Amino acid sequence: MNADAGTIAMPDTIDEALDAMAANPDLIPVAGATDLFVHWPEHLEAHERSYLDLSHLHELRGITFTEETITLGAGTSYWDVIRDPRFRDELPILVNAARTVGAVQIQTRGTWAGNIANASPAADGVPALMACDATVHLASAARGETTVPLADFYLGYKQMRREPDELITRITLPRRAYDFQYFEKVGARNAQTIAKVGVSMTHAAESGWRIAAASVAPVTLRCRNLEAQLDDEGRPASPDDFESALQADGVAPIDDIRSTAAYRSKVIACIIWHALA
Amino acid sequence: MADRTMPSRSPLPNRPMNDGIAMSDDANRLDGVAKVTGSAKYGRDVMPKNGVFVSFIRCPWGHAQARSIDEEAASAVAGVLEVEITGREGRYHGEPIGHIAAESLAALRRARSALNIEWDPEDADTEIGSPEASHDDDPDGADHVLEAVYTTPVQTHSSLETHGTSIDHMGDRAIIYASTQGTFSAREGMDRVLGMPQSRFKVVCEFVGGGFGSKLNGAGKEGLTAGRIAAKYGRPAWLFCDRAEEHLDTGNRPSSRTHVRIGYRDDGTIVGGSVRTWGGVGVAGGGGGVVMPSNRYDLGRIRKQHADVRFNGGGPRAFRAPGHPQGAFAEELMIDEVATATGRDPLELRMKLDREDERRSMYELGARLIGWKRRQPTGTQASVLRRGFGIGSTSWNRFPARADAEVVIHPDASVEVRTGSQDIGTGQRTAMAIVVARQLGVPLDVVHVSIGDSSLPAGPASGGSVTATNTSLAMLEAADNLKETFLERIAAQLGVVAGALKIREGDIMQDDRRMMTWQEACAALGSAVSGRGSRSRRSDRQYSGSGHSMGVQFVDLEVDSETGVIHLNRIVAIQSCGRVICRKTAESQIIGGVIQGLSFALFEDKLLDRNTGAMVNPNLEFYRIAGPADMPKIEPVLWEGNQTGIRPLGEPPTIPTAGAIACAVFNAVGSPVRDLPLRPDRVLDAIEGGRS
Ligand SMILES: Cc1cc2nc3c(=O)[nH]c(=O)nc-3n(C[C@H](O)[C@H](O)[C@H](O)COP(=O)(O)OP(=O)(O)OC[C@H]3O[C@@H](n4cnc5c(N)ncnc54)[C@H](O)[C@@H]3O)c2cc1C
Repeated sequence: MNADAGTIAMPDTIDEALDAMAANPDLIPVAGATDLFVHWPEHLEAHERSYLDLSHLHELRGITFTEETITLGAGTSYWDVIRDPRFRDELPILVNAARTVGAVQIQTRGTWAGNIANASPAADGVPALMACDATVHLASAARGETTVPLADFYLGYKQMRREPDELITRITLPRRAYDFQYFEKVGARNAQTIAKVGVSMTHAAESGWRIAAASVAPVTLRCRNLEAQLDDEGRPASPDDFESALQADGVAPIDDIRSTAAYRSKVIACIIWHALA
Repeated sequence: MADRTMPSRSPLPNRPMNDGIAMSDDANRLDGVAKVTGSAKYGRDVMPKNGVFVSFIRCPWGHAQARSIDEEAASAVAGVLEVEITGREGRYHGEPIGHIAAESLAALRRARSALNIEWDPEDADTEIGSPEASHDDDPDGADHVLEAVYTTPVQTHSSLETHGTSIDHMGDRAIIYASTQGTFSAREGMDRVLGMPQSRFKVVCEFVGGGFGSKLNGAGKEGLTAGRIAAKYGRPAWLFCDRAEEHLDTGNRPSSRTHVRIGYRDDGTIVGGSVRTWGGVGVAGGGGGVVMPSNRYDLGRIRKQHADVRFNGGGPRAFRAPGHPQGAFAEELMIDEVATATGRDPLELRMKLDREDERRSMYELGARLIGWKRRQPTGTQASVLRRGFGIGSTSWNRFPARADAEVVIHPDASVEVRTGSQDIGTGQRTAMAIVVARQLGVPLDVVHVSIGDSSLPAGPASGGSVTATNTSLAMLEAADNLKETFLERIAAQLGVVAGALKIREGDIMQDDRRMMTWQEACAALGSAVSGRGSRSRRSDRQYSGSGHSMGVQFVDLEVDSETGVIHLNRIVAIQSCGRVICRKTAESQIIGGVIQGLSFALFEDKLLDRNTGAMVNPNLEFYRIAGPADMPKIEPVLWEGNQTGIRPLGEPPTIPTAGAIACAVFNAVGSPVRDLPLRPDRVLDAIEGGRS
């Protein structure tokens, strides 16, 4: 067992945080803790781990808009986006996604970066960011900063391009004049619900279609084949016409406690088709 | 300009306001502020100093034998007082096989994990399955026969305050803080485990965080185990379930399967047939009854058979109108299937089949309020969003139960209402205060209620919707007796005959003259006066009357035909309950019943893994209950028709909701979904099936 098992480190700066990660790659970063600590009382083994608290790092806070780029510090919560009028005007897709996450308590604590690093295929923040061509910025004490497009970030279920000593420091999005933005989550209830199926879509003249799908594969999927089909042919006559593109994109849902594979396959095509009407 | 004052509630077009028909329109729950601020202390909140914490050791599989248990390691955990294993076989997920007692909750958790139990899982049965039904010959006189199977899942009570008991053991006496629906029945067996006569301990439950029938089992295994530990160590003891245990082992509404084979004529008349029902009772010996047919409708001669089916699951307990919602789901949907098959409007068919004239008037009102004329014939819509309308009906009998009451006027001008029976969240405390204030003729704010304490006058356990109906009769009698004594004593002081005095809004009046204020009169008493009453045949005759409660519910919803998701728009719930005591708490009972019914219809489902028999959703994340954002506009209508007697209200409003919703979904999509919950994938399958 590790010497500082059961401890929590509270760095004052990002550099201190990265040094701590370098010194102990088993350290678990904590942002809003809304994923990490849900099962805390029962998960006794989690009590033996050591943690790195990022929640009070001012350097990770803040949202900036420049001519080209929008930057969300890794500490940005859903609520920060909901209440920022610039998103309401320019990227309502993120506001809509944020509003469906849990309820207000979760929205004020949970972070976009935590949603990315938690790597759930049913996440709501990830597909919305993916449809906006988000880039994940990672940093480590040893290698400095690297960037990975969010669409390439996931390698398999809960597998991602993040080294044990790396932290997500920020998320950037290209600034574009979208003419279409759409976020949909089909859940069992209207709030406090995890997606049975989710879809995020954008369109801009310069970039064409971007489509990300949740809860239909082991990872959040960017649907490049479907994007190409829409770019080339536009909306088809029936949702059934999406089948081969979606399959090529890796849509392969499973039966689980939230829904059935058959339901997900059918509904994913239907909601995309319907969104385009 | 005309003087216009704002109405206290914005008037809803097209419906009676429920105003002016209750004994009190405006009274708020007396304990409302205490509950929302947290100053109300529930049994679970009572953690006596120096207490011992206790928890059960439970089987994690549907059926398993514990091969090895490291009792030594668990006993060695710091703070652990004892580990006791009482058996090695678990027949369902959550069955206790022993307990641990420790100085803290953290020590309990550590000890549970240190037990390191190795289980040998065995085969487990997890559901009713598809038992064969041998139906009799088709009924005489039928033009057609409908054969269909309707199923409902296990629904857990999901009380927010979990089951358990906190015992303040003080050597030669004790206070039992129980989360119970029966203050008096919770004493049973406690004397034995405590080794104390009932005269040395009392049960206190001033607040109960939900029970819905599952807390009618006396002290329960939680209470008796805590009692045993408290007695053994001569210390306070605390044993409350956690959320998972609450789902696993504190009762449930059993699953049901209803197989009907019913004959009907071209005009929609139902001419009888056979109904076979099965109830999934887990390891219990019974309790799976399905109330189908309900007797509300004339369905001809029905041959009914029922069987309970055992499997590896926790047993059922009474659940708000036991057996009724699952039966009503099958019955209402069956009627709508007959209506559709014969081209009848389901409303018109119910007007014909229903046995009660009073309910026919309710259908007329409900149809108007919901806008029934906008309903389109079943299966005729092709749009993405499809509108559906549905109806359900309900009834509930009044059951007599023993109840005593006492009312005291204190010299400081306060009035104390004393009843030992409990307020399980229904508003009983508030209702009793209103009944007494009104009968005495004093303002509500001088009345205080002492409730939920077995040293107070005895009252019934809250099951069968008996609490308010019976206790209020005892209260009325107590208030009348008290008033008589009180006025005699005041009359003697004033030197007038007692019969000449009246109490009006607290003032002591002779004819129209105020003789004394309430404060003056009470101060003049010198000492407290009290009056007692009880529910008896006499008080029943004097204050109540016969009659049962009934109601109808109308649902307006939309189905998204692309996703199968159901959006409830409105539910109108018309309900009779005789004389309404408190408008707000009565409305709240109806709304709560509807919410529990719609949650049963759309979401709730205790899922047992087919392979292991373990419950896969023993939490409130995956065991879904309707949340605020899922609520339609629920419009409770207190029936103004027949208002004699104080009649039951707790259970009837939850009976018809699921059936009415299922009928509305059928209306919207054109094929019936015969299995609850009405999950989106099932709705889509129904739409697809209807197409082919
Ligand atoms: C009641 C409830 C409802 C919820 N509803 C939803 C929902 O509707 N939709 C949804 O998508 N999610 C939901 N969630 C999950 C959760 O709220 C989100 O995933 C949230 O975005 C997690 O962010 P966080 O800051 O709380 O992460 P944390 O719990 O702090 O961390 C999550 C993971 O990310 C890692 N991490 C955090 N920050 C960094 C960083 N800067 N660098 C590297 N790794 C990092 C942590 O180590 C951990 O592995 C819900 C959770 C709860 C408890």
